[in-house]
Amino acid sequence: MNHKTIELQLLQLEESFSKSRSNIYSDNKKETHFSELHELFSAIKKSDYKNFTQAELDSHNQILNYIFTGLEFLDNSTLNVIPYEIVSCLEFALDDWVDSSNFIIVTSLSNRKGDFFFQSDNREYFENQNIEIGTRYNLKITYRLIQIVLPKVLSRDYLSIVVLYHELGHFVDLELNITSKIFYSKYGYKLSYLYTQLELMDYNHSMEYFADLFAAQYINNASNLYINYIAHNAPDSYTHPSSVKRINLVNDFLNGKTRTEVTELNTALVQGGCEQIKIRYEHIKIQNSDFQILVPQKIKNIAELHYIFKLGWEFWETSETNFLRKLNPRQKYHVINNLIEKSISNYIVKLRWEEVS
Amino acid sequence: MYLAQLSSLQTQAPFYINSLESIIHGNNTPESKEKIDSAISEAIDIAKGQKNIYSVDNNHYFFITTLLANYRERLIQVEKDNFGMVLYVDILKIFK
Repeated sequence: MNHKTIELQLLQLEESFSKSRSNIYSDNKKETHFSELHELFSAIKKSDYKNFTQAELDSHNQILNYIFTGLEFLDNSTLNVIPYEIVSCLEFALDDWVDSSNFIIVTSLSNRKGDFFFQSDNREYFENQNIEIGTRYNLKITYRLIQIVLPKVLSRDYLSIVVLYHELGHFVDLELNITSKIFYSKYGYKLSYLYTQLELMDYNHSMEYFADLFAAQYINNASNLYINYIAHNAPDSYTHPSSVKRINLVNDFLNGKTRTEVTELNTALVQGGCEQIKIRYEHIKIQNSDFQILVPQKIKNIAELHYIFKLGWEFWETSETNFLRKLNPRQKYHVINNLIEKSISNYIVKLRWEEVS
Repeated sequence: MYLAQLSSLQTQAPFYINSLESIIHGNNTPESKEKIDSAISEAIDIAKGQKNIYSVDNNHYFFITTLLANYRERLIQVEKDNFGMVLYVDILKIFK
């Protein structure tokens, strides 16, 4: 790498910024983040990058990649694109684990149906980058982005979108390094190629279990109901436990059965001074739900808000016998999605109104 | 996928290399040296069994675990109040 790499990145970024300038965001945090990225870009453009050392070129290459990714996600998180309702629910869940005021949840809509994943600059990278740009340019990035990728076609499908609670679980795990610490504690500190495939598989599986349990705290077994639809018989793989193992673990957790996986994770969480995995939703009985009379659910609190996804799944799973039975499948699908979306948005509007009045 | 995903070492190492090179050349800020020294101290505590991995500072988690994986035997011998320039040079080699 030489200074021409930086020069090319800067020119590409210039194009990118010119297309993003007219974006309108749903909140001030995103506006701030956009401005800070632009200031950083301008400072690097004016810098003496032609005379950078190799390490300085490498770090600036990372910083420019960081700006690129940030812009991509901001472009997909404008006022009329972002799936506001689910993002609001995820923000409430996030707040149980980290100070959510330091983060912005942004989304990127993918054209592939199975694309549900999250990516984020980790805390250590963010701190180091701020030290570097603070020392060099007297600049600072205030917020960290939690970048969630979801399929465009499913961005308002509240049955499949439950997967995002699982993805948020991965973010929280990486933020707190929970499964990684368990891994080192079990298998010791070695060069990465000295770990066996079984040890690494165990680590991968524990990350998936953490994310599944994280989701189950908020949405009961809704995430697993979806797994059962899309990966019913998936066997153990290097990256994921079998669907049966995942579903059984969550069911045991929800039924209060002792499982070593849960105990191990909670022990690590407690030792790190973090919250424990526990039930955080409030059950809404299907027979008493407002959905029965085709109106949005009057949600009483955040615990009930999370449960709305499970309620939606219950109505979907029993739609041959419940009040939806006379509708055709497409109508059922739309009614359930609309009721969930309106229930969430009504609750959020009410909450925001109460905050300002 | 055109390229492999970048590893933590690839994304984070350049910042640590910059900090360590600044310390070695004597043009670091006091804050950056303080942060590096604090992370090295934590790694020493863990290597010596005086601290538990679960309570490690997540702000330097990658740095600390990289040291533990690559340099544990040496860390056990280091006195916390006397790092010396050789230590920074050795650590720099790991991240390079």
